[in-house]
Amino acid sequence: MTLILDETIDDLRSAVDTLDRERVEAVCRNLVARIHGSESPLPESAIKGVLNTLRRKRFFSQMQYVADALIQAGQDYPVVRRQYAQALIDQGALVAARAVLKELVSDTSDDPTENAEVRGLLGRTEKQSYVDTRRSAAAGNRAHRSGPDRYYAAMRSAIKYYQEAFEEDPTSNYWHGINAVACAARAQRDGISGSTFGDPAVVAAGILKRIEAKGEKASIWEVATAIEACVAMGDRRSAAGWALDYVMSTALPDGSFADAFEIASTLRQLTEVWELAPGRDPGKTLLPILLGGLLQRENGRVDATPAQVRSSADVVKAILEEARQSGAQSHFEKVFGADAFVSLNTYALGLKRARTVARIGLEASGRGCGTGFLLRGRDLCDRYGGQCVLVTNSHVVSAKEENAPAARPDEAVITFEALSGSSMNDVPSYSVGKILWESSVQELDATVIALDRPVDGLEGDDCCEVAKSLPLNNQRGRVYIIGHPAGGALSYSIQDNILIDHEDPWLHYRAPTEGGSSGSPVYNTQWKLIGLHHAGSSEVPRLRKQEGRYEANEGIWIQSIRRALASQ
Amino acid sequence: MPHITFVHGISNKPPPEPLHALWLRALAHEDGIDCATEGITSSMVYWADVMYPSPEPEAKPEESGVDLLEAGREAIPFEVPGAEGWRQNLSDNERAFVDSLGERLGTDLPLEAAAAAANKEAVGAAPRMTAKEMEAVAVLERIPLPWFIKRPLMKLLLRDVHHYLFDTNHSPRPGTSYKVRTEIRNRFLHAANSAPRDAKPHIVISHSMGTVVGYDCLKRVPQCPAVDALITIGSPLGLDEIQDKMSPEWSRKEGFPAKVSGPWINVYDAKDPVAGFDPKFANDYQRGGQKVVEDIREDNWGQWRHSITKYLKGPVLRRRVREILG
Repeated sequence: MTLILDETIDDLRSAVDTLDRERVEAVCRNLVARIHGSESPLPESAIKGVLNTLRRKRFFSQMQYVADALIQAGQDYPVVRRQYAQALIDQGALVAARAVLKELVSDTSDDPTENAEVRGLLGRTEKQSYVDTRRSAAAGNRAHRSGPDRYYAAMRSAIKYYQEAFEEDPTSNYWHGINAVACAARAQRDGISGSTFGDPAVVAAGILKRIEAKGEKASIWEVATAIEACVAMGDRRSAAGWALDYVMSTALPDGSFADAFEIASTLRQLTEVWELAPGRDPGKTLLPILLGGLLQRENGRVDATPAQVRSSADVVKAILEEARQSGAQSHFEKVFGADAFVSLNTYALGLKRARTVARIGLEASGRGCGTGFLLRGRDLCDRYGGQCVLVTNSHVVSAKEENAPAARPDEAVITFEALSGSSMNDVPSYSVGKILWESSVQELDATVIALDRPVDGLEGDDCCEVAKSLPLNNQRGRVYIIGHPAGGALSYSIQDNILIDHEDPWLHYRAPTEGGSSGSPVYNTQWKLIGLHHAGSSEVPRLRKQEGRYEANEGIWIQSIRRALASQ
Repeated sequence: MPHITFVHGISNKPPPEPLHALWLRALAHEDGIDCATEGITSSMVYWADVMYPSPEPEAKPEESGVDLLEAGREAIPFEVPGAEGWRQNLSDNERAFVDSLGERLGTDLPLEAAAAAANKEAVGAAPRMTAKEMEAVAVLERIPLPWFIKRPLMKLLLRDVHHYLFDTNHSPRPGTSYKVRTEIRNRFLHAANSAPRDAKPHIVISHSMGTVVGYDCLKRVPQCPAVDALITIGSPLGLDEIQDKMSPEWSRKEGFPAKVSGPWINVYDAKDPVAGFDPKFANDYQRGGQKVVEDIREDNWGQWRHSITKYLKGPVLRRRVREILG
């Protein structure tokens, strides 16, 4: 029994590490069947292993599914209920999470460690509730007409939960302490009175001192705590040093490391609670480092509005420019090391690529029906020369009636949001000047368009290079996609992004794309173009004569489009 | 799909996979050639375990801003297991080779004499030095490493070259022994043959003592597959003693391996302690009497100028590899 369970856990770990969502779900289904069908309960240590494995790569819905089954089967250990609540919080179900946690507080009164964890999560629920409601109210959402008292109360509760747990054991409960610091500082900025918490900067200095005393024995969460403590103390440089340690450590002595879950949590805390922004310090220094680290992790995700893309691009451009001007001895590189510079470069390239990605719709301000991207014409076909051409799917824009409901050339409206001014009103729109070439949807599903006029604001090196080769077919290669999922705002899809197979002209990858991502560029990790995204489903036939179907997205290998164009 | 066969050099190494990954990372570093992303397969001819009892622990890539492997991991062979005893029972032929190469590499110089000569003290301070040893001092003096590192390094090179060229029986650990050249040749053939059938181009990138292995196999082993390009880095192949032992297959006029259909690019830093004795090959490895080897000087900065990770970051080397990849 134990042996079989060990195998299941190994299988789950392998599926999670390779981001094989289909297999993760299958293993979870088997596990749940076993939970319901077996008389002997699973060992608590095994349960912890399963839930932590799922959390590490942000498989929150599967985490909820397994924890739910355990609770129903009577294996409702506190750790299971706490992880269940954690999964609910990370999926935005704050009210449900709060109910679970409140019950758990009284049930864990004889276990101080678990009880502190539970109260910490309650603090997080209240903190998140404050952040969400405040943001919504700031956007003028009428659902929050009740005024600020309600969300002010949520912030006071958050501080109370964190503060009590921290003060009970300030030598261990760092994360409660630093959250109390963050919330108290935010409350001060927002004019929320009534807190009995001390000076956030002073408390932060005490926490930092304890972490520094641990030296190399500090865990990854303590390193993250140190970043926040430095932010609270206004020490940008030390914060950056800790941030670099955080994203670049492969594993600390205790075996912990900052994976996607950890970095995403830190980013969320810094942007949502500390309100750091890429345009001003310390966000100007810290956010590119953390975003760069997230980009390097599997299952990382960066959602960026066009304004954020432009703002971040400016920040990174400034840092790189400083480095270029002062050569290899640049301040940045000396302080942060060469690898940080590389990660910034990668990040900067990604931001640059977004400038050439277009939303294609039927009107300038409405939702789009697809995505397209600019390429230097000669990179696609010699006869296009130096002009830039727009590439998209023929099921997005087509002159052929058989491809309906694709937009007709005369009705397609094309906008480059990351390239434009500071508001949506500044975004110029373009239309189709001429369809240069299109394939059928069933073949290469590609359309090449000459726009009605040159694109404003485009810089010489904005367009990406075209990759000559595909990454090795070893299920370890990764792809990045930039598009307009569901026709909405610009988004980087770097989550769940393993290149799982390829066979000319098809590329199969796991990347979360929605309708409206059709026509998006697919890049390799050097941000060179490898494909044109065109479809995805849970029933995609496998490639290379393998039997069966699987969940995958499908793109067209850009070199096969080049070949088709060359043969015309 | 291109394929690269890597061959590592002298001194002990981390286990095969981390070592292979280290080379790939160095080649990809800062917009370099990212083999996995660019669809380039690769294999590593690993032979450190033929000479050493157990692998080095895996290197931490960065610590306090210093790359340990670059900074001297290979450069600190203070104690070479069995580094002295192996010279006691040599045949006359072997002894002549070892004495001659040892003299060339300055391995037997008294440290004080070498240091005195290097410091340009009175010639009388080193009265027992031969002309060849004086030449060795002159070469080694240029190399920015302290003598207590240089000399063990030269001893290591002497041992590895001897064991390989004379196919010596060597026992790196209890219960295991190898005929060194036979074993390493087999490993080279296995790695080179692991390239996909349609691999094009197939490039051999070798470093240090690995360049001797690569050259020997491509020139002298009939079963060795043909390759499209050979890149030697920080190589001791310029030493006459080594060239002589490659005979009769090697001659100055016909030194270029027929199994290499494309270019042979030889990359060196004049202050590389292994390559520095005679870093250029164009004259020594001609094809039909023509000088065809491209000798490329690439700065391997800092004190330790034999580092493969630094060489693989070199812009000229990368540009030529890119050109060969097409």
